[in-house]
Amino acid sequence: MSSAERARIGVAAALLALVAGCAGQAEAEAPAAASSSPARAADDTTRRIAEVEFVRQCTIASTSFVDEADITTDLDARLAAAGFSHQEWKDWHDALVDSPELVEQFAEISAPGCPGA
Amino acid sequence: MHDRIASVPGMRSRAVLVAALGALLAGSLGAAPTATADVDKTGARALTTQTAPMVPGQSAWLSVVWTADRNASNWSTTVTAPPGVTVTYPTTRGGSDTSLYGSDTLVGSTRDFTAFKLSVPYSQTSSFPITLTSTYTDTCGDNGQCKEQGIGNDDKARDHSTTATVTVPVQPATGPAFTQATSTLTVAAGSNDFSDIAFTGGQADLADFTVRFGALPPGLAVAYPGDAPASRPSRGAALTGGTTDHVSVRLDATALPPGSYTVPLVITYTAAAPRTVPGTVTLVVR
Repeated sequence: MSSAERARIGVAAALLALVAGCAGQAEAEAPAAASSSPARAADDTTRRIAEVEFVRQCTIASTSFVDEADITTDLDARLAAAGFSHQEWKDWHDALVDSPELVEQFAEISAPGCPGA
Repeated sequence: MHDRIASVPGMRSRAVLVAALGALLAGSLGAAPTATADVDKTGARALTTQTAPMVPGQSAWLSVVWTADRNASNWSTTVTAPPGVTVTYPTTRGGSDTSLYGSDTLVGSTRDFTAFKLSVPYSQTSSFPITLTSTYTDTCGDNGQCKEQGIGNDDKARDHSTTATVTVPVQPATGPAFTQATSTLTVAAGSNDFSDIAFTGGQADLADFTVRFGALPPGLAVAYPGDAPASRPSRGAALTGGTTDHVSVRLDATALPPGSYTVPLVITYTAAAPRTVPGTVTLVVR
């Protein structure tokens, strides 16, 4: 048996032990939930936040900022004009990653493309 | 790993799984390992072809917008610029790369942008390209389902990268190099204190910005911080374009009678070349 074959057998044994160990531990634990909370649903509030974000994404590349913090100042001014806080925007953005509804809503808003593009 | 195993109901299913894995591994012993290149299915790409314009001597934060067809996580971008152009990254990531504004995951079918600071030398008078290299991880399986969505995939995480070349337009600067925001200083008769004179930078940065008083009216004495021969902006040696900063000067008016005096200033800075320009400030002693 070559050293490579011996190494592969070692890896196989380790993986089998790992699977068996995990199974044993899982049996002693409560069933794990696939997701800790349901994905956020799309509604009129998320639509309006998505609209603010889309317009920002359309203009951000043509804007320069003296300070890095000015980027957030610009976002917050847009949000405030639409009646939202930075935290509401952050909650929406954080929810995007596991909410197909929010993604679909953003895609729908951005489908026509940027104004003037 | 535990979540996936926990979803298998009962010992029988576990035994089947272990047997299947064992057979799979045993089979692999007889076959030579093959390297398969994973195709990037994220569709990650830059939407920006041209950034905001800059002027020679300017430093500013710019942005490039990205999109993807499906999630790309662990996003990291580095920027390559021509010699003389300095790239600065956000300090929040340690200063060696940048990521996305919202998070380090570009969610499929959405947009996000990377921000970075460019400092353009005065010698850079024409537009130039920059190359952005982004690395990211695709955690979605071949079935299109992504780990982040808690619905499982083939449990693979594939690292990919993409590059984008973007043009940075360079335009001639317009407007004054700086403006003096403070035109009058008011001090109490007999006082001997520091006063501030504010300046606002134009579009470009001015290096080695200094201010000193010229010929003084009889009875007035001045001094500068650190007993230096001139005063510098409070935030550093440069007056950054688009920002307002101040210089401090100690005005010893103990021997200066009340009244209004026009005091000359000598202002020096380096733009494309060193320059000295005059200024004035009105000193009111009450």
